[in-house]
Amino acid sequence: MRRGLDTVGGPEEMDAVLGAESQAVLTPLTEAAIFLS
Amino acid sequence: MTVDPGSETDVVALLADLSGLRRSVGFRIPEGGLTCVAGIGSGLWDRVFGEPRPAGLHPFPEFAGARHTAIGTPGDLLFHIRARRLDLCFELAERLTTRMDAYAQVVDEVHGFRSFDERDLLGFVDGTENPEGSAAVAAVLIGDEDPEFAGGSYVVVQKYVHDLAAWDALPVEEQERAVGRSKLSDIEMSDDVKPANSHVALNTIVDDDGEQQQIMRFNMPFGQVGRSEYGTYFIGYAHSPAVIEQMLTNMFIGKPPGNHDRILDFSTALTGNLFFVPTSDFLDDPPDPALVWPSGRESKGDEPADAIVERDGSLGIGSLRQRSG
Repeated sequence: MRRGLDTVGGPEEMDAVLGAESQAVLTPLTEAAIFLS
Repeated sequence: MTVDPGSETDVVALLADLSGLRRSVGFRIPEGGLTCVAGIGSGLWDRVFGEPRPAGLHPFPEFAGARHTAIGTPGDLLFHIRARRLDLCFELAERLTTRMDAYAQVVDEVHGFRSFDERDLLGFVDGTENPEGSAAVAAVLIGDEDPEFAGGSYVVVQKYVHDLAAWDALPVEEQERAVGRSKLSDIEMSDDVKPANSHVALNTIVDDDGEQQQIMRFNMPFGQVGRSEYGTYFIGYAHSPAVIEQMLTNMFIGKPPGNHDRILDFSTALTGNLFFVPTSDFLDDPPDPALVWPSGRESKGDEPADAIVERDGSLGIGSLRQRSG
């Protein structure tokens, strides 16, 4: 399962992007974060 | 983070190990939901990967209005680490920075927390209009418009600090007019009431077909009460940086020019940067920098001639890959 898509919907969403697994850019907001830049 | 010249191979090796590092930390507490997104800045991309490059990747431009400016600050790499527990985030951040200690420097580090009702430190709910489901995928992930990088994304970050004393001195009704939403119930004002310089009005982007252009915000509050530091870390993902840059144009320069975002009278952007977010597949198996030369770049003469390969439009994944270390 594509990591970035596993929280946002079913096969329709997963089929939206073919051939590559996204990073976790669609994971819902969570409790804590560290931003390193 | 900034990366020292000559460390390109180290960066590639680190990115390839990122998913393993995340698993090593997160596997021990699976309910913690540890995730890490890596972004690559324009300058580092050219140094490490060259051509082809993501179509929308460029240095973060400055947005200078008559009263407020969104500055651009240095940054080759971004790590957006999230979990339900800060200890997981901290452990992974420590692993990453220890690994990169010899060749990279942290320019900015912010520890964010979720506040009541998803509220920012101005007291308003933040992120209400984030897209969901298929709309989120369309808003965030690169698609057919740049097929070589499909599944990737772009992320813009800005660290804002608020003049909370001045903000809190405003009547709630005036705060609501600055934001464009009610403070308690988080209901958006109707268009005939919402001020043109409100945050919501200036961040609503509609294309030529009348379709609203959305982004995904994962903003978080941060601060230190002992230093009277109260901030919001803006982090917005989109399939193209153009949408976010239009928002910043509207906010800082104004729409029309001079009609800037009222929130900026109480908020200052201390940092600003744009990063490309490659797919996990790319990170797990990146092209080797020794085999990648940006167009026009010359060999320094100390590289073996057979180490330089003309790019043929592929990403150099697979047989071209000769990762060191």
